Amino acid sequence: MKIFDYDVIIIGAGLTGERAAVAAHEDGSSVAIISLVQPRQSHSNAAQGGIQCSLDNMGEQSAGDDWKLHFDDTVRGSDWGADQDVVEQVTRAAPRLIREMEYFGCPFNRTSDGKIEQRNFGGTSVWRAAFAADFTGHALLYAIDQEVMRKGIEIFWRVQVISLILNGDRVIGCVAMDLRTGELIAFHAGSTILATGGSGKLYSESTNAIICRGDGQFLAYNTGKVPLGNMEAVQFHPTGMYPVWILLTEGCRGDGGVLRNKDHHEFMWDYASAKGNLASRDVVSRGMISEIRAGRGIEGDFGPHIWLDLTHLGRDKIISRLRDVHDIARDFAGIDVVTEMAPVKPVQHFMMGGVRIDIDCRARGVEGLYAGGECACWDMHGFNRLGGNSMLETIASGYFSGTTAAKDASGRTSGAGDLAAIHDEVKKQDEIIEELHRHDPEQNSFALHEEMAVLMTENVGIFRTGELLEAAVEQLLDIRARADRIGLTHKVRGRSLELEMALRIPYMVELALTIAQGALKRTESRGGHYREDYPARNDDEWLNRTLAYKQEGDPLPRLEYEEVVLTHLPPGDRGYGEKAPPPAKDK
Amino acid sequence: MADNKRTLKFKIYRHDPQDPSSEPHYDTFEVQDRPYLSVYLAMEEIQQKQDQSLYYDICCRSNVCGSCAVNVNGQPKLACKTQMKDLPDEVIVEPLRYFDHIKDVAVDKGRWFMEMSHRLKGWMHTDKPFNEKIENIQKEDDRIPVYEAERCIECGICIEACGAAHHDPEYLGSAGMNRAYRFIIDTRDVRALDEFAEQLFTESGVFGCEAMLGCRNFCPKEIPLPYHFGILRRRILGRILLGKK
Ligand SMILES: Cc1cc2nc3c(=O)[nH]c(=O)nc-3n(C[C@H](O)[C@H](O)[C@H](O)COP(=O)(O)OP(=O)(O)OC[C@H]3O[C@@H](n4cnc5c(N)ncnc54)[C@H](O)[C@@H]3O)c2cc1C
Ligand code: SF4
Ligand code: FES
Repeated sequence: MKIFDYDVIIIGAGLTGERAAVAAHEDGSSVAIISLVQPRQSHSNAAQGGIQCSLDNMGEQSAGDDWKLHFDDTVRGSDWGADQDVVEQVTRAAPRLIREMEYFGCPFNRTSDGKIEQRNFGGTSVWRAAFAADFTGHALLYAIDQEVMRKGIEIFWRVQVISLILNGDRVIGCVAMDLRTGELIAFHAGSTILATGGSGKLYSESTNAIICRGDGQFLAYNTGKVPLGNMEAVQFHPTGMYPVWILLTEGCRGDGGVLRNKDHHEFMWDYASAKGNLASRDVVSRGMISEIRAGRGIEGDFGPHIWLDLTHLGRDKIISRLRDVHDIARDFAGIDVVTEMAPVKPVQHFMMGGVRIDIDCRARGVEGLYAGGECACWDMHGFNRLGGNSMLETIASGYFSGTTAAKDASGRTSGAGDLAAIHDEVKKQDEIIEELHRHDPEQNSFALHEEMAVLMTENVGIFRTGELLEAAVEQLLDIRARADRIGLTHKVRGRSLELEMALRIPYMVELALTIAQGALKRTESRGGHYREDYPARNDDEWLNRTLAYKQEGDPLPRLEYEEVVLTHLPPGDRGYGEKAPPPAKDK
Repeated sequence: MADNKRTLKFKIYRHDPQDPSSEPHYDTFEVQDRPYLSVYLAMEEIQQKQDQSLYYDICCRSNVCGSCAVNVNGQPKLACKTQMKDLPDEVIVEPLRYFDHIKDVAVDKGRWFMEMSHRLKGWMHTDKPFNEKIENIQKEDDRIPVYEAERCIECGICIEACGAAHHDPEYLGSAGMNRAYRFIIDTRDVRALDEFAEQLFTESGVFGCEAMLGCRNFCPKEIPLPYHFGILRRRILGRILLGKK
């Protein structure tokens, strides 16, 4: 068996992982990146609209912007679920970190005086989102990957990490499957960083890539020691293009696009009198579903939808700033957004929850493990993330996790028993794979996945009730039980999508359970977590963060709660002029 | 058209080069047509419901990551973007031939693209230190062409579609030339044209192009590749023949 040895290993080659690698390498560590796909294919490349940083380059439109205003917007967006010390650290660092991405080569759009241009986005008080047309994630990812190449950092791609290796309370590396050969390989490291991105594929309707399956979250959860924070905090993006669920960026509305109902009425002002189309995503998504429930959606073959109208922007503006939106609508739905409205519906988009880390990105509960980006709960987003703050989080948590992990690793030496722990874990994983080969294929993991994902969309969505959530938990437990009977139709070790999925599905269901159970127990509404049976935010009882721990022999998590860190901004009104959604009558 | 009554036939290339008992062959699968069905969605249905051993690459499913390129009826295309409503009832799906074959219709493009970037030192070269107080100043008109070239998603389709690339394994190809162009025209990169001489001023560089335009016809991002080479060739000829900088 191959064992690779590094000071720092990074699982994930998106914006977070690559920024972490550059930081750790600059601190003199030996570094390797492990990824399912070659780095430039990571899902960060799909981010369209922009990245928040208070550069104040837009004259009147950004007047008075600074870290504090960005901080305030972020905390209001989070519905006071964020840790304010983390938000302060990130918003203060943002201008430097984003200018650095420009220095690395990112071709940001420019103002007339040649500075980085910024556009309007949802839930912000000024124009703050830096962007490269509507391909910002791609441009940023290529820029940071160039730095990874310059430094010659080693990359293992087409490799699926399947478990972390523990020696006592210390994470000392991971076991992975080489997807080309099927061989198991081990990585031994002083520090291990999780940067595996989102888990949108827990939902059937999601803007995420096929590879966003929550691997990093269950890798940490499976240790039984590391908690997942706020898993019930799921973001639904208002403008997933119907019915293929490819995102049309919030930048569409930032640049002047509007949402319309079947009577072409611009209804968002009825739900958020102060911000309208550009209220935070949770507010806009609820507004859209409320319109649909009131019978003012547009009927289609795949259920009702809403219109996104860009037709008043004109071809030039669309082609120069929303080129990919234009192409996506044309290629995937046959719509010309220059002259036609696009059908949209809110769909799963982002996980605010994830591997609970401290302000320096160290994972809670063990030594030697770090996390950043979408798989982590840092927690700068609380119960609703602002558009453009996620890519900022990737760059910032990449920088901080890489720096911390490298510093910590330099003080670590191989522990007694590391080698034995590595061999034990590889043997355990090998046995799991052998067991899958022995089983009759009673259950198909793709069918189980679909069952779970549809259930999550239907029962653990934008509007939640105790009844729906209880039913979800019960059905998820049933799916989890059946996941023990998965077998393989083709008994091969490598190059098998079937095996790759079979190794995940039991754990994906357990992640879904952390979401459903967390949502069931949280009897209030906050940000993206909306309980129709508890429609108000309840700061007396719920100004806290859910922590979900894996329990031995029980697929349900053990839930604990911790206080959120409040430094500057006490809980108050979010400032969107939000009216409570009407109670459901005729769903 | 998206006629829901159509029964579509997919003839898919099957071969696992690492399995000595595997022989290259085609398997045929039937899928009912439906609205919005793409080559990717059809392969997904086949893999999940008919034959779980089928292997293909998929990631973003939205024409941004470049991972899903295959040959569809002999033409290199993105499986996610290629809609069945535009295709006949019978479709042949094969892997890209140019890149390292993994299994069935999956290939690995990572090695080729990483080597290409290393050949070109495909990262920014500047003599200014980083200044956290102010970004580099660049005119929007100077940035637009950089962005236009930067939109390449490294899908490999232009390489697959290129006769010259199949003759000369050293050929940089459209994607490579486009990447060189991206740095050469970027006002922030200080490299002189001569620094690219070894890679570009050769028959495996700008003089290797046979002007067959496969790259332009198939690039899923519609990057004006021949135009980019035209500019490169003009600048390089100017340098070689006229001594221009
Ligand atoms: C369509 C879309 C548009 C968006 N637009 C914006 C926007 O405009 N602004 C904004 O701020 N945010 C946006 N976001 C959110 C943001 O892009 C993501 O949250 C962020 O890019 C995630 O980055 P990451 O580094 O955490 O993970 P990713 O970029 O997803 O990378 C994950 C990496 O982990 C690897 N990996 C996963 N599992 C394993 C495993 N088991 N073994 C080995 N490797 C593994 C993958 O190969 C990949 O390299 C958008 C998201 C989507 C889906
Ligand atoms: S230039 Fe076009 S065809 Fe070639 S790799 Fe890039 S995106 Fe693909
Ligand atoms: S899957 Fe990303 S381009 Fe097709």
